[in-house]
Amino acid sequence: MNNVFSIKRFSSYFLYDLRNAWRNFGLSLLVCGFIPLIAYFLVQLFSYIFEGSFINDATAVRITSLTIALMIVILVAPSKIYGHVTDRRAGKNFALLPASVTEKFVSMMLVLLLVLPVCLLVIFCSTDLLLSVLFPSNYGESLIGLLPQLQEFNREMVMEEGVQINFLGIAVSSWVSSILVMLLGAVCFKKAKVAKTILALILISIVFGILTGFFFDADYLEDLTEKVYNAGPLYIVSALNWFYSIMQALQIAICAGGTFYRLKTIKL
Amino acid sequence: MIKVHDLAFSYSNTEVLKHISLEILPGKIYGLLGENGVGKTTLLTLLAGLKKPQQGSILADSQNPYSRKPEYLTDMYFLPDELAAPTDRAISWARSNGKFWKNYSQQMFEEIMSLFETDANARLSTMSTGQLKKTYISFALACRVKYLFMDEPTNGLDIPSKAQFRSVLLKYTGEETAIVISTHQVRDLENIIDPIVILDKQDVLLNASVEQITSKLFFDYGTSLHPESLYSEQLPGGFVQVYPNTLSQDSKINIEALFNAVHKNKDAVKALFLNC
Repeated sequence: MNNVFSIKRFSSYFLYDLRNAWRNFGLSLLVCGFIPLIAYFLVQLFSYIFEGSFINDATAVRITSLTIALMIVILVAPSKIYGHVTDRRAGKNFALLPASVTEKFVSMMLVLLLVLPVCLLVIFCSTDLLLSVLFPSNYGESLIGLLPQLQEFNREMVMEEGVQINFLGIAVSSWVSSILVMLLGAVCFKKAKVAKTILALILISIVFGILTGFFFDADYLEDLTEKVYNAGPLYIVSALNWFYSIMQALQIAICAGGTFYRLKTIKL
Repeated sequence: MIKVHDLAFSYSNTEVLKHISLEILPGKIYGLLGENGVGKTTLLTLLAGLKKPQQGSILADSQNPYSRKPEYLTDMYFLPDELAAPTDRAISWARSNGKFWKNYSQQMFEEIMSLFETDANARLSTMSTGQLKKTYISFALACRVKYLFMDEPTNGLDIPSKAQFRSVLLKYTGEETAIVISTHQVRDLENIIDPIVILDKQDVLLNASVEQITSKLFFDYGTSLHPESLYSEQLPGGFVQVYPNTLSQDSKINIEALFNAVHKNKDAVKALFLNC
């Protein structure tokens, strides 16, 4: 028997995991996907009550509702779907289910990094598209229809030839790193998982800030900023890109590694 | 076979298990007895691989349970005292979980559930403690594993269910299955556990089969006290007492009396069973 990874066992486990994910977070995910609908009707209702008329362009409402939906899912989904790992009762079932830690971990990654965002975006965009078809004058164009405008925005951001911002890359890496941080919190803390994870992040940021100040004094940082600024926009974007990529890669590696280690060594 | 050698475990500064060595052989139903806090549940969780031994070793067919390899997990089931109650219906919960155990039988699960007179279509989250326990017991037996560890399985069961539990345990476990049952409800399991393991704080006081116990100790249900009695308890119309079986007489074991006799005469009993 392969004790590390068996495709057959993994397939069974993945389906089992999907079923549990749906049971623990399915309804919440649906509600998050319907946020544009809820937000649109609330905004129009209040607009009618206080202004006596409906809002004609709800683009800001939709972008805000998408941000809220993403925030809710990133903050809550990992602890709702996998928080039971640390539970004295349900955690035993998880730890002793005959599948390897690698299989359980890969399944977690697939659910959180692929299935969840895809489902959220599909529900969200479908709701958004439906509303744009039903109320074309008040709701405006769907978010999918607004994508060319994002590309235009991207083009406008070009400060010099060759400088571009990869919004998709930033969105994907932000999702991955943020949800993995919350997952690590969900499998490490036994109670108040979301609050404790946020507190831990604040503490780490403070410690990191103090250490940065300890190693690099204000004059050095000022010099560095000036050098980067004088080097031109292409250099600034490149430096920012490197810094951002390295930080994201580090965060993802630490969180994924930490989660795997926790799953392997959890004691109940 | 599971070999436990010189096992030690502590919670922070509280030492629970120390110098524990024993063997768990196939085909036997081990009764794990001991006072509160001696580490019965801890020992079961160590055997299941939920905790890591801090000293000594546990080898289950040459594997370390704590590595929680699928090969071991599919041969083992641990039934804890406190059970999770997901919102699933029992029948679908069992089906979706059972596929991970190589010998699992859904038919057997449903059969045992009906013997327990428990509705397999009910949701686990709406079940009473006893019904939930019976569902998990049915599932544990339907997994048809090589090693079955049960922590206080009769807690929460009503009187008829306790009899049903004994009956299904004997009917639905294979000849090669090794079962370890930790319990305080010794009367519920009196006729089925054999061998009996009595744990003390940091020691195994007794690990012997019922035959070995009754060959060394005599359980007397008479009306007069024996001078060599290791333990005696007054009952309506007489005594139950335990004393060395010097005359090689047959007697029926009384686990409660045995437990108390062992606890009151630790060294004497250990010396008596030294070669067992």
